[in-house]
Amino acid sequence: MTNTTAVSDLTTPVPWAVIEGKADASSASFDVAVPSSNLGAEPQRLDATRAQITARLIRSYVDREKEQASLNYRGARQDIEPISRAPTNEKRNDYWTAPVVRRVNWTRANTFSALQEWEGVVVAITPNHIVASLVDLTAGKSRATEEAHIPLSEINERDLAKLVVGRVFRWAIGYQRIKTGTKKRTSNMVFRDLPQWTKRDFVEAQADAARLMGFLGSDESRAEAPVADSG
Amino acid sequence: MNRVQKPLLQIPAENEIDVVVVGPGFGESILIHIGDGDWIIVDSCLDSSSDRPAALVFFEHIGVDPKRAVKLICASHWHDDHVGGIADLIQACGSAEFACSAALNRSEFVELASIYNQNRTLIQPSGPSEMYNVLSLLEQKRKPPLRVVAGLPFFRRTHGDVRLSCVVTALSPSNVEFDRFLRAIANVYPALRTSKSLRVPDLQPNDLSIAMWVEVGNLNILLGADVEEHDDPKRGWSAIVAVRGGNPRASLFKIAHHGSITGHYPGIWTDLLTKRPHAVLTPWNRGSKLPTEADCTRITSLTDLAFATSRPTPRRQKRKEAAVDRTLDEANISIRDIEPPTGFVHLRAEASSLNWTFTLSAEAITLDKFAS
Repeated sequence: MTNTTAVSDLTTPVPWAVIEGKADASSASFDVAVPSSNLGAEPQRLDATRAQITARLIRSYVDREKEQASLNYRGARQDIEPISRAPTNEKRNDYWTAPVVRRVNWTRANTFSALQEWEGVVVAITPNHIVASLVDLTAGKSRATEEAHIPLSEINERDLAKLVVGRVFRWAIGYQRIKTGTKKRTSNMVFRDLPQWTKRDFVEAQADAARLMGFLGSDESRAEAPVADSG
Repeated sequence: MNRVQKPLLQIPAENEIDVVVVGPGFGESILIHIGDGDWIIVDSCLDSSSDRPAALVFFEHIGVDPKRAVKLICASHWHDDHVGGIADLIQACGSAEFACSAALNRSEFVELASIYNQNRTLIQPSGPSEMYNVLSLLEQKRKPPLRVVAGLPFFRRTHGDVRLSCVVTALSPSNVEFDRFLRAIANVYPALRTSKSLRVPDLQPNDLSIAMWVEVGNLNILLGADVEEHDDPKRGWSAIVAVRGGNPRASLFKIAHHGSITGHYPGIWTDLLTKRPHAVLTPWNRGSKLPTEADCTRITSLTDLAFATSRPTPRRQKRKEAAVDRTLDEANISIRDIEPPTGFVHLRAEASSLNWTFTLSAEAITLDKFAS
């Protein structure tokens, strides 16, 4: 049986208590998954971390053997989460295996929770502001029902060059949670560059137009306007 | 249209002519009862509360079946504010003919509509994509559009009672404007490998708008669409007045281009309209707002019977999440509603008379109060 324990903070002792389900600790093997955010990119630091955890776990193991006490879960850290069935290629001996410490991509990623989203279209540009009509995506609208006056200072400098009347952008206001757990209210205005008009778009459009013109008749064949007479 | 007053919700009698100008602050739709239970509709906009074609919402309120009653739907031009939901309107009005400028049936425009219909990245539909939907729908119905040409009638209803005979005649665009429009299309055609993140711009000046003259018995109605004046005898109102002046005058005017000074031409008031006509405009609440205070002053000096279908919109009330409002305040960003509740101005006259009576919905307003 392999138990894998994720350790999110190496500055505190690794609690033995989080390793669960072992009737006989001597037959257990386990991995320790360390969030890459706590390791950095340097291999030396990874090695140091691996050694530190190994020593710490051995010490904990020996202490526990001495105590021969029942497991006490009450002091377990709440932010340590078990990972089940983590893949491992390491061989282990029957008696006891030192923890395998490796870099994983399991991090507490940045998340964004939108409170309000719009699709905007630039309708006017002044020296200080843009005027944009807004489709309220949060309210499920499909057409503009609001208009914003947005100072140019609120727009990313790289986007200023893209500002032309008719330009479409996405705008979201909400809370961003960053890796450290910090919660921050943010406003994200994105002037998308993609997608682009492709040759395929034009080919399909021309085929559509040809079909419709077949229905409407050629430009030259319709010199006189018909009159509807409902009398 | 929740606050429609009860007295308005009555189907007109067979010999009553109704003109209902609907406007939610962006777009307009004009519904005309031409007598005998028949209606024609010029332009389409969406009802701000239901997002459905405002004409259909109005018909539901008064109990008219659009499938049987509507005989003609006309798009004065292809801008968003005049064709909002028009494909749905055509679908619902099964027996109606559809009319639009002959220029919108030309391959130049059909290709433009087709290419913008390819752009699925934008939430908001554009005028060309709406027109593409219209043409595709008409193709399915095997019912080609009526091609409107200036100076020619495009709808006629003969009736045993001559007071209910109806003719609708196009006054624009002139040949010069027609050609200018086709040339201008090239400027809004997207280029290969450019971003789709650009909404198709409205062509300015608006060369293609159809002003029209509706004649029902003795009643004459001038619908100004978005026709502008260019101080050119071959274009705009100068060209229209030169051709149409001297004929019977209209006692009801749908004011051109949301009351803008660019849609104003003194000859309209001196040569095409009766003295003290009823005049109705639909406000434009985006970008540069229309009408301006000066526009209201000018129009009310020409007639005291001038109306707007909706009120100028106030600054938006704080109603989103408090955190959103805090963010907006901190960044000095102001957001306002641009769609007040849909309002309408309702005018009614007996076919044998020349006297209109008017009723305003709760959102509509007399123009002298619009700017104050």
